[in-house]
Amino acid sequence: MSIDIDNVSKQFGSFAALSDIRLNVPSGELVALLGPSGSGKTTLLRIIAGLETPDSGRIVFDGTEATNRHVRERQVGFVFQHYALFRHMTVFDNIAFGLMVKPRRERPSRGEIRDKVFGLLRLIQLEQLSDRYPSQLSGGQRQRVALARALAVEPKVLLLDEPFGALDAKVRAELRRWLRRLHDEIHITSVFVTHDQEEALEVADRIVVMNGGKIEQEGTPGEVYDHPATPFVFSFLGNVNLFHGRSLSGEAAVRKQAATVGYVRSHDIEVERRRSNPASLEAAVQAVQTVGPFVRVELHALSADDVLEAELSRDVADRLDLRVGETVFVRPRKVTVFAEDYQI
Amino acid sequence: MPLLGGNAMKHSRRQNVIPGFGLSLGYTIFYLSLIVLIPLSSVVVKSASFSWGTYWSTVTAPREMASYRLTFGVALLAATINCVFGVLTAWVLARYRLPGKRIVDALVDLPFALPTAVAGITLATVYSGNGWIGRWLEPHGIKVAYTPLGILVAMTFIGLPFVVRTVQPVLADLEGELEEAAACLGANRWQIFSRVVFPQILPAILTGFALAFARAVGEYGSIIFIAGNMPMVSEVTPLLIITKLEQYDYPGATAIATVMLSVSFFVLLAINLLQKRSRRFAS
Repeated sequence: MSIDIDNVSKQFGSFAALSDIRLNVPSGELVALLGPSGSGKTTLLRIIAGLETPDSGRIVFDGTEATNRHVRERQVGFVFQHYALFRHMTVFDNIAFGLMVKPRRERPSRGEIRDKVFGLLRLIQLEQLSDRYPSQLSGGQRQRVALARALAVEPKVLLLDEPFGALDAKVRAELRRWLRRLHDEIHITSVFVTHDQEEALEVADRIVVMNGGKIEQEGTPGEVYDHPATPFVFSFLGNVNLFHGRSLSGEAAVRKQAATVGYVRSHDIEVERRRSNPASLEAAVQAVQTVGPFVRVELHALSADDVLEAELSRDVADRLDLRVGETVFVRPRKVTVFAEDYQI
Repeated sequence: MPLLGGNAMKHSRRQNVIPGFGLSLGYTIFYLSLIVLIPLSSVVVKSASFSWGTYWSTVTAPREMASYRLTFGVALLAATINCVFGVLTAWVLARYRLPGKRIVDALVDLPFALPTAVAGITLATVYSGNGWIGRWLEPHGIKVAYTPLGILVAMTFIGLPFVVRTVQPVLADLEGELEEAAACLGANRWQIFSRVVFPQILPAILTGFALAFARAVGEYGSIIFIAGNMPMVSEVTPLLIITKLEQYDYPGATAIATVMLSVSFFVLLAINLLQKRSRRFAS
């Protein structure tokens, strides 16, 4: 089922949570709403679910207006950050809940419910835990149960609110790969909210970057990462260094204007011991820190009085063998300049 | 601490993750003994001056039997009524924003604070044939004051705060997300209440029920003013005990007290077990 969000606005008191949002989620896609907290992404998700009503605008499911349809009748599966499992019910009863509350004439027989629930338990690989209570499960298992519970009623849309936010890093990575595979199998239109750009880039077909109640950019992960439309998108999707006009002088790709600001990713900064390019800047090493697979170097650009952060791979860092206080030469490999510059 | 102690040593060490187990156990037993066990055991000792036969015939006399039925029956009924309306009141206080909610909140506690005699006299006045409420009930043949129904009113009055005060914080802490999740899964309002909210507040309701019941069983002050105190009809057990005391029949009074104690104890124990069952998911 496709979702059309048509000029939706929502105000909480004097705070504009969403202003004039327009968005189309094509049928069968997995879309990420990515943004910092307070950007309105959860509000938008809750409006799609019917848990919140928009002040103006329309929600259209498959061409039919659903703005005033009750959450009960929207046929959406909703997965909450903190699972929201019914703790007085076993895993089996949690998953069966949506089927058990159906009116008698629509309700499947006990046997059918049983088959359906065990089918879902196989899908989430928790068959042997069907009679446990949620308090006896780990966070990752609970979230899988919550997902199975949402899928049991065969929703037309699956909505996930920071589904992996409360889990530790390893489980989170496993679960999002699992979600991606699951989506490739069942192709249910899905929208998930996250503030983790890595998660969005890894899982989603499309990413919608939100900020301050507005959509900043919408596109495939590749488009959004490689061609960010605004400085906000650039900085939200990864580490960023600002090269002010004067420090960019000589760089062929950049206009020589004092006001120009170039945006450079930390991993796009080249660090050398000898000046190999006239455009290179002289910089002093302020700190060197090994962070897992790469080395983060804090540099002080002497001519421009800017602090830069470079990320070097371990072997490059080992070859350079940088010491704090040394003078080196830095050069941006790839610079992005925005025509209209809003200061971030 | 030796790593390889004896079995008993290892066992006790494993249980005592929180320090001070011995001290807290000792304190609890000492305090409970001082406040509860010693006074109550004196009741049993005093009644032991009876022979088994006299004891049995005293506590099973028709007048006594009628008072047990009345006291425990009406107390159970009052506690049940309080559960229904107490949960409603708690729901309103926890879920809605009303003008003057603080005042309503404070009103709930008044039955705690009022001297029971004042409550009894007030209720008797209001529910008597020419009282504010009684005059509307009497023409319909409903007599409240000076009947067992009056006892029910008094027991309900004094037990109300227990259910409200135990259920209200649990309701207030209930995650709204659970109800949202249930609504997304297609549950209607009644299903959300009966299948999601109610099972979670049930342990608190049972606690409130036990407290209201215990309070009602032991109630004396307010009841004697509204009950009429007719032997075999509207005479509660605590009154019977007082009557015996006034006649210097101490063994008789304590014998009846032991019956009250044991029945109350077993009812409370049963409620506790029920409550444990209703919380089995939290293990």
